[in-house]
Amino acid sequence: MKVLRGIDLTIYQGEILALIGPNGAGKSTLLKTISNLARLTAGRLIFDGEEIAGLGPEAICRLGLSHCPEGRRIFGTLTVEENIVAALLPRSPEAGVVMERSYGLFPILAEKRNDRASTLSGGQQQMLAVARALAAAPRLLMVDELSLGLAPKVTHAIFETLLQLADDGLTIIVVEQNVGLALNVSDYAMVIEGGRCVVEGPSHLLEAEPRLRDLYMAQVDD
Amino acid sequence: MALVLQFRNVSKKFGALAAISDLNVDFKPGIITSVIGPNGAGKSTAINLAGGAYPLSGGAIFLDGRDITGLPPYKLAQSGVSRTFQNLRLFEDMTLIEHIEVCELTRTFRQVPLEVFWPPAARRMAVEREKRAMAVLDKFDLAGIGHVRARDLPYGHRKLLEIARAIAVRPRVLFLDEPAAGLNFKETRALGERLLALRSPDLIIVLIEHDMDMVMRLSDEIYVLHQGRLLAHGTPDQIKGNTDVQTAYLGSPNDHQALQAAARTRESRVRIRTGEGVTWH
Repeated sequence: MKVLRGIDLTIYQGEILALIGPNGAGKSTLLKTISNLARLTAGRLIFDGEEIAGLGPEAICRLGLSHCPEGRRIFGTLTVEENIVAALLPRSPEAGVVMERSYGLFPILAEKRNDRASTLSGGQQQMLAVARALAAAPRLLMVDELSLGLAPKVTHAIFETLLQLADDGLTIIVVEQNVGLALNVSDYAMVIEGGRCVVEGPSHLLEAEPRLRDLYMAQVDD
Repeated sequence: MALVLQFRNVSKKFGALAAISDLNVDFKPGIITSVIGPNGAGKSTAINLAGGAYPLSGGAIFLDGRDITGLPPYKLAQSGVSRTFQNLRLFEDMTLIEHIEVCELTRTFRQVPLEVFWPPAARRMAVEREKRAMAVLDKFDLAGIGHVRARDLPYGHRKLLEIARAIAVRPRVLFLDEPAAGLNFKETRALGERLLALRSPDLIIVLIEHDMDMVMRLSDEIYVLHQGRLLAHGTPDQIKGNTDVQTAYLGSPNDHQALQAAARTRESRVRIRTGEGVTWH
């Protein structure tokens, strides 16, 4: 089955790219293709001038591509802290620095650092998944379904952090169902439907596209 | 005032953690009641307690005046408590129709011998059972794909199937744990319409959800939990305007504006894509 067809995507350093579209459109597959959890049938993947299409997932991680997958995928039997430690790579800063940053971002994780990850609430597990992806000190961060199960306030806090990280040069791809918010925050966005990109452009311009508004956004006034 | 699901001074501790403390809430039939609150506030724990997943540490739960505290999950299911899960729990190798058909077992248990030993009756019953299953699926526009296996469904349909299955047991209480999570705006709106259509005078519907557009549209009453306690209770408008709720959960309208402002200043700084416009393919 062809899940993606003829996707052309360019993302520059420090940019936030949002992937938008219905379920089953191929957004998650696109992320998996980049991190090589799904094999490319045709086409090329270039990261920082290097062809990465044939590399194994672990080599991709070492290059600095970090993937926070849909469904959290945390290690339930490990503690919160062990989950973060498990994500450390040779390229990561020292463990202490990573912990401090993770807990600064999500204070609730600090309170629960010695608890088994399976005892966390759904939203807290999502926070842990994001913290873990950041622990790998990525150059490209990919987050699938960022706001899934998160309180509105926490979603805002994570997006704020992503803005800061992007200002510091981190490149970010997010899959996000809250299209209004995704376009607010991202620099560039692509709408994927049936494995193809149907429309793309700078986010602030897409926000004003009437056809897109009808399909994907809650009207501000209702 | 007996027809209601009541939590009375309900507490739940996990070791030292007080997940729920002294909670008093009433869920009424005929309306949609939402439970919202920050991550880890105890929302799913409250459902799990009502569903008998683990024992209470204190207090009692009543359904229609009857004390149902401590009943095992299957007894609670028989008393009409039905739920969906945050992480989908489907039978991957079964078709949609089969998912709904298994829900009939408790109602038709006595006919099993007849079905096993009398083939003509079995054929007739199978036809009727499938018809009933299709009727349930039809409420969610899933009848057309009734013979598809769960593992082959896209995510949005999987969520609908879970709700269809929860409804198929003809519950008295329906708990929905984040039904809109992972659905896009259009799918969420469509789901909302379906949930509104489920309202009936003898069904208690409890919605746990972070999609505030959906919560505010659908709810007749809202309970806000925070750190295992009741923070607020009221209509959608009362809750939206409640400053305690804004601080703990919603974030103030200013927060959203601040985020937009931060992103805008960034747009003026990052000029990587200067001159690029919107491209329709």
